[in-house]
Amino acid sequence: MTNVSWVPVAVVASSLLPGLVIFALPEHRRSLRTALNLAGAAAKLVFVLVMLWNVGRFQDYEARLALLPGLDLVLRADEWSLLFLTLSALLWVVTTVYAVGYLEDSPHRSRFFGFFSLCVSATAGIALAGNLFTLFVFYEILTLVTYPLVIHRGTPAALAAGRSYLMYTLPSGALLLLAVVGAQVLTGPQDFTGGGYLKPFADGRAGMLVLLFAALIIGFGVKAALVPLHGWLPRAMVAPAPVSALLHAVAVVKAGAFAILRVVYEVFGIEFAATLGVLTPLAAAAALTIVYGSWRALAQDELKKRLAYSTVSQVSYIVLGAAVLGPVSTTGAVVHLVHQGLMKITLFFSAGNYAETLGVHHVSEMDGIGRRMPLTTAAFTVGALGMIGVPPVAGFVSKLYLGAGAAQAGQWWVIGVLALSSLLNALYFLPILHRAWFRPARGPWPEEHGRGLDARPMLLVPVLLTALFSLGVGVFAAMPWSPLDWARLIVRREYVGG
Amino acid sequence: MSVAEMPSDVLATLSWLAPALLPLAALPLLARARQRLYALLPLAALPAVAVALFATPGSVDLPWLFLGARFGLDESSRVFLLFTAALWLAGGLHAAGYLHDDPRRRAFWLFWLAAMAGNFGLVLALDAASFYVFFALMSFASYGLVVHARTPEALHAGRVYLALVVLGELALFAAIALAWHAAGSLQFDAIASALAGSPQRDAVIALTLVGFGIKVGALPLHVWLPLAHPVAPTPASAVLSGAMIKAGLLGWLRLLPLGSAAAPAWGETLIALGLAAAFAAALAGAVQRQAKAALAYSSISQMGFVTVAVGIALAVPAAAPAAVAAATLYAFHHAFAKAALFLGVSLAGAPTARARALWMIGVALPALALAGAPLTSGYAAKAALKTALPAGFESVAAALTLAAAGTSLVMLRVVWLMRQDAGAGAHASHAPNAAMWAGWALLVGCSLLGWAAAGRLADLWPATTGAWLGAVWPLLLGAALAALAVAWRRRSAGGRGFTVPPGDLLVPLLALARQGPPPVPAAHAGHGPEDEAQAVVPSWPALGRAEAALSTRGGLALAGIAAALAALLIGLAV
Repeated sequence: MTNVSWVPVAVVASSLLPGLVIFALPEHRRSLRTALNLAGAAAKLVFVLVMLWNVGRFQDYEARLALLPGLDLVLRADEWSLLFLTLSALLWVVTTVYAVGYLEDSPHRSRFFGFFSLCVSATAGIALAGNLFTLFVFYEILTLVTYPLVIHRGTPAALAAGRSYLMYTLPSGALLLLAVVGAQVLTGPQDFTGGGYLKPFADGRAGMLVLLFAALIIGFGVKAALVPLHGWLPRAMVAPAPVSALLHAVAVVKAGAFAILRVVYEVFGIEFAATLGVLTPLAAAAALTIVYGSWRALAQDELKKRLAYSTVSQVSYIVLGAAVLGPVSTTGAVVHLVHQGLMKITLFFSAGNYAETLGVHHVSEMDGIGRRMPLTTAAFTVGALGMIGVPPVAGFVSKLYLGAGAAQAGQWWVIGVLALSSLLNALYFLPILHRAWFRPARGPWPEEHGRGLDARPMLLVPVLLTALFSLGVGVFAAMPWSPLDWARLIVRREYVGG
Repeated sequence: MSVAEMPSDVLATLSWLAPALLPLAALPLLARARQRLYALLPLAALPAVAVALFATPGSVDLPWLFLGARFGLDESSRVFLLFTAALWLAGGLHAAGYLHDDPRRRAFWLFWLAAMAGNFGLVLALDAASFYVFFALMSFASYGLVVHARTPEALHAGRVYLALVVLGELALFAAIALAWHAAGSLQFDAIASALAGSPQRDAVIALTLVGFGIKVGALPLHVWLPLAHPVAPTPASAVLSGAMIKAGLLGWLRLLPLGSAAAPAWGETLIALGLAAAFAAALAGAVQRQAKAALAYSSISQMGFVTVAVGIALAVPAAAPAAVAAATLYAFHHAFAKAALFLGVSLAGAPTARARALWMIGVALPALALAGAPLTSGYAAKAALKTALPAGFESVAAALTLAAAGTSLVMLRVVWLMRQDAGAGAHASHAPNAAMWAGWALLVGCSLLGWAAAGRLADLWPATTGAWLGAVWPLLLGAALAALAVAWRRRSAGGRGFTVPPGDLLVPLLALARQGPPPVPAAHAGHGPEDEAQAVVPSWPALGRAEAALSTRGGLALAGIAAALAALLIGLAV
């Protein structure tokens, strides 16, 4: 059953309001700013957990605002929303703590945290969007509020990255607008529905629906960094580490992948999409992205760039899983949305710790870093092994589900793609681990800031937490309320309940 | 399932998990390790010993763990747990002495405990996901044991080992995903029964053979063994060659549809590979110049015998129960004998004559057992293997007998090399001490107890005079070959003598790979030495340039695409 409720609105507001206040704060009000940030994050987490509990008992929330007749702004908490929302709310808390520690004493912190909060509000809106129009609105807001974060440092490289980001996202936004209007014209007002809602409108319009699908996928594929639409992502890694965490794990890339999942499952419906014949090209694009991203990651010496290409590759596991018909594959896709986020944020936090504490930015400088920063490197190791798919870190759960799902659909080549990608992952991650743990340090570290054995506590605690999460959701994957359990709930909605 | 419905009998759960959990729980202790702690760490293997000896067979379902786990013990995994636990315990004791003043002992114990936890966990796992988890833990943790010395040889061996581990992981991932789909369950018993009639059967068999074959050292995936065993610290070689190699065998027994489906093509391939390994590795071992490398080749050769048994079980379902039992007995026998020999390597330089005599006896007994001399566990294991052969495989029996001559040749070579090492003072850096003797003595004792245990399952000596002759001639042939080789070496004094470099097939392959120009990706220029792993894959700088061009102008292209799509959409709608 569905309740009309203020809670979804409150979730969006819980980061929006602190964000607006923070803009107005002078630079030196550090503790007030931090308190506002943390209060917002905590409030959001509480709201989200309450909703999670109730949605888990099949009680949805909905808030609806009619903008024009037939054009509603809908915020609705269903199983899908809560999956993405819980991930982003949880990681927002962690990232806020990390960002406060990371940006200590750097300029423009009010601006940074203001946009940071807006970014998270937009993400919450995307998660809660109940129809294509609402999704589009928040998606475009996300584009705009992320730009200041990408260029935060103000260096020429950052500005170039920002330009590249806009050059990709703005045309894709225009395309999306067109697609959303097209869908609206075609079907009238429609909310996201388990099993999709386009099938009754298919008569004689198959060609147009295929085009609509292509427009939506290209539009959302830019943020999801599908090859060849991924060019902005590796450049954007010039942004500070918390922004990278946000881009890669909490908000932006995830928003693209999440939107693609919504389109495939709740607009078209996976079975209808299969009859349209659009799944095979999507799977091919995802497979290409997976292999290409891993391949390019191999050649990067800059740690964050290597991680960025790794994201390009790993996010497409989600798309690939969505493009293969069958509940097992869907489970893998949905659960990887969460698992990839946890592992990748761990990796970016670690990379940030290396840069902040020792000034280490390149893989080739990482010899013996495990001895100097053992806890950070342990967290990095967990993330890296998880990305390869080594059990019991989270990655192996998604990978096994994707593999078995491919077998279920009879698409054997998908298993080959997954194996190849794991091999490439091993090739670009294991040498890093070898350097970090088994090689002696080359000499004194280039710029040593931290005292003691590891990074500052504000930087260390978040990365240890996310590493523990990555490990925990793999070890206890079959627990009730685990991401895997939740993914199964979503699958029931799409295949049985639909 | 909810957390509240967790099995009420926490004690039963703990007894199945304790062998794997205790070593993991001991890991944090290493953060502030003292000398006294290192002496206690070997005892982390005790829960496993206790479970192997005293637990009643049974299992427990842990629906909240991994992907729904089941742990427990059956009669065949009890044998595996018994020798695995004893080897880790004795190896640990030996290691406590061997590494007592090693500067990297903390790292050693970290990897030792993790690998041990993995090894115990996989023996107790009764579902594919749990097995996969602990197998990975063991495989990756042993990398730290292989490269412990950090010498160029150790690092090279480590790279080869790790590359094969990753390949094995990939094969296992695919095998488990397919088996899961075929059976709809990850429990081994469900997989075994479902796989027989499944269209995925052949794929699963092939992937399982490769995935675990790497651990078993099956031809041609054996190349890491002769590289890794000589460079690892001796106690690590003992558990690598004695216990961990059998984890691959257990994986085969668990995941292959033995007894439920006939796969003659796969079975016969496996028999052929097993026989080839039994002969070729014995010959390669006989020309080694390091005792531990010769022992590694002997392990490959002995696992060839076991591979033959698995091949029989795969080819002839009716023969599977006997063949699996024979393979298990063989694993049990080989584990103790081989580990005792490995530990014996580091005790070769005993100071007193009495200690040297004791050492000689303690080395000769397991060597005789491996050669299959009557009255030893080796005879029993080989007899069980031959009785397990169904009709039509008589030639295999003959070949196995002949291969035993190769084994005795290798054993003579090993003992000779050990004595030579002792004379040359090769072990001066690890002078034998009490803990090292204790670990070794424990193993030799276990090995002898194992003879008695094996005698209860199969004959310990031949029944007839003719059979005595049949049992003894391979030994004599081996000895004669050894004598001939020695005589030949004497005559051609000054010659270098023939040898096979450890890693055999890999050596020319790597040399071939190094022939081409070394690919140097542009992105790495000026950033120090290359990682070999990355140099293998071309990075194609042109691709990077093309991508850079795209990422600056990609937006324009995208705008073009958007406009085209828009025109199409509007055109269709109108």
